[in-house]
Amino acid sequence: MKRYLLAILLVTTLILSTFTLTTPAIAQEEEPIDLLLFTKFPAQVTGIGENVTFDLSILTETEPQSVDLEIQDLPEGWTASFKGGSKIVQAVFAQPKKEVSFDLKLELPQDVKPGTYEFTVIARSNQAVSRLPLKVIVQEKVPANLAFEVELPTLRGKPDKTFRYNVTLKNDGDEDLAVDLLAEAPAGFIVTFKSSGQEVTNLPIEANSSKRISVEADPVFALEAGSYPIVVRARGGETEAMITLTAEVVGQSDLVLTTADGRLSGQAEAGAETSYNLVIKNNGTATAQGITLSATEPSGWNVTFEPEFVEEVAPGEQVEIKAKVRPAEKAIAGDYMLTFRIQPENGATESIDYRVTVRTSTLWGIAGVGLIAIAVGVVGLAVMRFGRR
Amino acid sequence: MAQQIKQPTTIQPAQSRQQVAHRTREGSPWTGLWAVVAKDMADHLTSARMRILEFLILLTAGGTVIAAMQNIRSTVAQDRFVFLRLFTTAQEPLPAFVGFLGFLVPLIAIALAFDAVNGEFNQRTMSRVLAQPIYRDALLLGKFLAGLFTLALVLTAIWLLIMGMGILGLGVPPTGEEVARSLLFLVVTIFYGGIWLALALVFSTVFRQPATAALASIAVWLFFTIFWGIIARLLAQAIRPIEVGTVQEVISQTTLLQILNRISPNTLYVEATVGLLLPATRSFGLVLPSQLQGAILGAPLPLGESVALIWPHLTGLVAVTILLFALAYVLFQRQEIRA
Repeated sequence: MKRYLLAILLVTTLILSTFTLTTPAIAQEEEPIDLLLFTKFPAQVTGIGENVTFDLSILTETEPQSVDLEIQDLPEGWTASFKGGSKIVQAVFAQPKKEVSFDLKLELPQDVKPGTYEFTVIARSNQAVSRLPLKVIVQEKVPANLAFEVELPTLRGKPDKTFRYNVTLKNDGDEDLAVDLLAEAPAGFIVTFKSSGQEVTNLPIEANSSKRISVEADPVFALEAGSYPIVVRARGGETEAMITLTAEVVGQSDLVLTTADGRLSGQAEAGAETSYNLVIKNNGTATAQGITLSATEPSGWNVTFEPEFVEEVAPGEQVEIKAKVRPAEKAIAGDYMLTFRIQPENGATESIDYRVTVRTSTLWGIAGVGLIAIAVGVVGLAVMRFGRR
Repeated sequence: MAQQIKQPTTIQPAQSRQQVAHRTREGSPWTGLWAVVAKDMADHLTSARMRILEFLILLTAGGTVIAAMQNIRSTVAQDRFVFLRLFTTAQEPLPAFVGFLGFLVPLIAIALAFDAVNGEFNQRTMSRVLAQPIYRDALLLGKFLAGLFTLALVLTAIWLLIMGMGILGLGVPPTGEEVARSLLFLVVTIFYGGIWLALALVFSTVFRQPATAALASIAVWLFFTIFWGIIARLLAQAIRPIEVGTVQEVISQTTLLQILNRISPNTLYVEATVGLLLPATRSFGLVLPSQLQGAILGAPLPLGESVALIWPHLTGLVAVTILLFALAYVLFQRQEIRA
């Protein structure tokens, strides 16, 4: 059944096609066409910088003939060439009932102005001439254009913080662009671009759309307080966009507590005061103020500082402190852990653990030696009294 | 023994000495000391008694150290003082080497000295020896030193044996501090032996029968080893009774008990051993929790501090040894010696 239907369909198509083919034949009988140059689309719209191609066909119904091709009224600066079978041609051989197709390629100059341009293609043979007027409408095209938009171009932060700018990069042109991202930042910053969480250096932006980019500036070291400009450039095709972002770095104090010689252990005698040299160093960029010193010590111990309170430590400076530790009178010999702590007025507490090896008094040692001396003295006395018998 | 001393160098007839008033003293009282020491040591080292004791102590050292080494190897220990553990590690059923030494050393010391003086009397050689140009001073000191040197010789040999076995068995050389600590332990052990040596010397001077002297010495040893701990506890409870149960009462009783316990040389020796061979030892007495606050437990004391900790024990052992010798000396000097 299905096959039968298909057969009917095929037959109808055949009949129809023969009918259409025969139509010119009927016309030919009235007045056969000597030569006809034609195209399906005689008027084309194009943009600046683009080339135009017309599909031309040539037809004859009388006799085979060689047809020369030429162009009339071509606008100045334009170049035209005929192409047939991937070759540049100047003439076409037309045969009856056989349509010959070829292309007309037009190269428009770069500085062509928008407007309507008309010209004529003439096909000329010994028997006849056929003219085909063609029209090219050059339209102005929106040039590729990149633009940055940023809501907050100036950010303020501490030097250990990442400055994150949310930037929108717009492509206003009619062309898709592959955009390279570049940044010029002062020394001390590492700038990265992120798009949807991924680090990028190059990203495609479609025509008439925009993309959100996160520009992240990471200070590598403790920067001095100040304003740092970060220039971000986007370069795609012929266009370039630029924006200047500003990172305002606020100064921050960074206190480090250590000892003068870096050792975190020392010795002390039970019940006797020993002093250790502590050092407060400010590695930050702002002055640390109002530093209080404190310690956690085993019970019965006494820890005092000299001075107890440090007014301020300028950036890069250091202050020496004496920690006076007096272990308990009855402290057992051995290692103990002390914690020294500094607390700046506005800043985090910094602390170090200090290991103190407590030594006991050697007084008992002398007493022991005295005991032996007495024993030897007793022997000596005995020898004096009873000796040499 | 001393009957073999036969070379009077400076002839000074005994008569002439007796003619002079006995308060008159001439020359060094220690003339002939080293001859006595040499002869007595030779006697000790060749005696069968010594052989038995040496065999016993060798067996102890070998057995305990091999057991300790097995124990150390089976526990994958990161110990800074692995050599010291050779002395202190016990493996059932054997006690640690130091535990053995605690009662072996007194036995050897008593065995070396219980017949030192009365033996000479019984063999009727005392007057012969004293007929030589040797003062009694030199004789007694020579006998004591001979015993002490013999003891030191035996203990040093054992110490070397243990260290050698340790190097072979553990495959690491001992550190300087380990050597220093174990050498100090050796010194403490020698003077612990010295106390019992001097005590046996006293008894051998007092009693004419060597068996009585030996028995008396062993009685004293047993008293301190077994009974003194009980007596000390009873005494402490009687003197400082806990009536209400306050902390002060407990502390004062414990302190007294510790002081009483330390009268026993055994306690002194054990504490000194612990302080030297377990470097993490910080104190022997009662430790209040407040004293431990902030302390890093398990951290070894520096050698100097460990020595400071056991210094009273060491000096006490040395001083008691000297005092006991002084007692023996006075007793011996006052004895009547007839030919």
